[in-house]
Amino acid sequence: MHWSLDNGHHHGRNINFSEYLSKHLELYRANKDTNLRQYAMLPNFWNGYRPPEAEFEIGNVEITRLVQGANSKMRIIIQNETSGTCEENHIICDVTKQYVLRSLRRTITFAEGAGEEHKLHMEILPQTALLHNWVLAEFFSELCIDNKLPDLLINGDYVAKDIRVNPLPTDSCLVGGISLSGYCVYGEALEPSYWWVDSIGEVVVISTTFITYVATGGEVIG
Amino acid sequence: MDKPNIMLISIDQHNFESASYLGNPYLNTPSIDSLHRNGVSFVHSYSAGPACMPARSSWMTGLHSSEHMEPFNFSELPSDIPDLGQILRQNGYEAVHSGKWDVNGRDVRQSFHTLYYGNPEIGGGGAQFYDAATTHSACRFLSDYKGEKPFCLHVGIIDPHDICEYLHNFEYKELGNMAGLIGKALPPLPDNFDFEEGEIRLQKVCCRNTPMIHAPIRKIVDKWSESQWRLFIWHYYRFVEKADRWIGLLLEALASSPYCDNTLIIFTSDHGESLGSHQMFQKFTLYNESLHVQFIASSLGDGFGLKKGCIDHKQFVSGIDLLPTILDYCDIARPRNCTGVSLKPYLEGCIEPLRNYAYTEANYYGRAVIREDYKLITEYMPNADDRYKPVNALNNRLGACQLYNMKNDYNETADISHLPENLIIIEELLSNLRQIEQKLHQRPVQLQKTKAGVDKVTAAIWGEN
Repeated sequence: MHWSLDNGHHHGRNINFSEYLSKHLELYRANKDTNLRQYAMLPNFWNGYRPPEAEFEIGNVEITRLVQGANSKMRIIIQNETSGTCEENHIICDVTKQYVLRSLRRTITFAEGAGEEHKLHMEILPQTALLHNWVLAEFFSELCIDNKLPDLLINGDYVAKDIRVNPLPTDSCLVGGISLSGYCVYGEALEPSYWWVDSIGEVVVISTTFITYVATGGEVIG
Repeated sequence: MDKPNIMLISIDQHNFESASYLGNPYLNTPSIDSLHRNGVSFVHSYSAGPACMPARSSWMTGLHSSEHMEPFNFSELPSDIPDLGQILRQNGYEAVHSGKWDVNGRDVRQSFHTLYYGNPEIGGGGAQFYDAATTHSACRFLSDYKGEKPFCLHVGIIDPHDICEYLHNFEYKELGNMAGLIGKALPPLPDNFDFEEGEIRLQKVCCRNTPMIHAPIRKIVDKWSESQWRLFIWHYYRFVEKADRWIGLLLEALASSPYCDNTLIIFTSDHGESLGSHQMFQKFTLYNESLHVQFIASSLGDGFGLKKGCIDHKQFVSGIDLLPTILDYCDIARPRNCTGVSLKPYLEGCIEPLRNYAYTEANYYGRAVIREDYKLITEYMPNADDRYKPVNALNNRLGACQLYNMKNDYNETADISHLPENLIIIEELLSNLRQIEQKLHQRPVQLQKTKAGVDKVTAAIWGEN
């Protein structure tokens, strides 16, 4: 297991992290859908962030391609139990120009603790060429051919500039029987994350500081 | 002018030098730079205690840790000490909070009206989980608030604290050395990367050899190559840039709100980050990198008479000054026993510096007195009869000292305490220390959790149970 995915000892409880990765990837392969991609969110650290009895997975990302063509439309839903937020993003991006963002409509629902639920609505119409980070995940192989990317709009929050995508100096990594190639993605205001791509160029695992996103096709019973 | 609004923006574990406006070329912090351009930045600004809970309790009470009795990250604030949120609310202010709180023993909801506090409640770290929601909640408050009361909004951003999890990784696994990928962009080692053996016990116990705190990380870090240290610093700067971007969103929200002209912004950090200085990481020590923090008083409007773009080299500022400063701007009397001082008269240009030293406590026994010319780091020995008595010159014997010349050795590379000609200077600084102690409202340790912390630290430093 590559070090960026080797989080099995971080949890202070009996969790087989690599087994979670493998099972999710099996589900992903068994239930592939060209218009829908799902990622399960696995915590890289547990103590201090989750109650001991809580379920292991902390949320999910669901990317739905709604319209293909010159303008690609996507709906991205990100549910994160630790932050207590659920985001629904409606993205329109330009297929002919590196999928740069034309518009982003975003609703964040806060439901933390015992507090009452409230919603926040935002709309972004970028004046400069920006690529949404989940759009990069969706079209990674296409976009990373020349390693020169537009600035990234991180989750619709802020712009990370000077983005670099460098292949990891390692042979491919086997996860759940799938051979994956690794990339390190980083930039200004963006600490490195490690993106793992399968043989047909699809991003199936992203390892960030706290969260590992793994492509899935359903629920893993722990 | 109507009663002003206050926006307190705190970030966590921010190394003082990690800001573009100070000429650091290895990161980009446009938002912190903007705070500086719009206000006064204090060069002599120090954490009241180099760990999250002690420092934050000092912010909220205006007291040193031997007064508020939260000297560690594993202690508890006594219930009878009033805090900033409570005082503001009792005096007609809307006190609101979003994000990291981390004052153990005091539920943030007893003090502030909370906009966002995580699920479960935010603890020490987790910027990646919480900072976005913290910022969005605060921005929404700024755009939507229609109340008649003036407000004080505290936004507790966690980054760059996520560097701690970068380090925690090393407890469990060997991370690949990515320095080759980053190449020329890697920052150099700090000038004070080397260290001297003659440190006080407490410094060693915190971060050296087999420390009480984060021993597994220390074990790995001791074997790091130069490039691994530089990679650590490079990672840290990315987390600082993230914190900066959240600040940017807050400033945008304030600028487009009706409160732009009448809101004083105070920006600071709870403590610093060692960032490889003396081959250390994180905080906990009494070296400058662990103590030295930004403190910027800023305003997007012209209502506060601040000298914009001013870097102040005269005034010594401590985290305990935050509460009296905010209360002074809000025209609210400070609590009777508050040790901190208000910076408002100084910021308005009315008077000379309020003090010519900084004083800090660390881990119950540690003390530092910092003046423009010299800095003394020292520690008290445990009181053999009752270790829970207030720690001071009356109750405790003094342990070892470290002395540094702040004019020509700000990096603290040469301890000059052993030089006979410096005995007078040490005596002078110890006299300063005793004078400071006489003005403190120290308490004995009473809460069980804090007693356990004292026992733990005492055992680690002096091998006693």
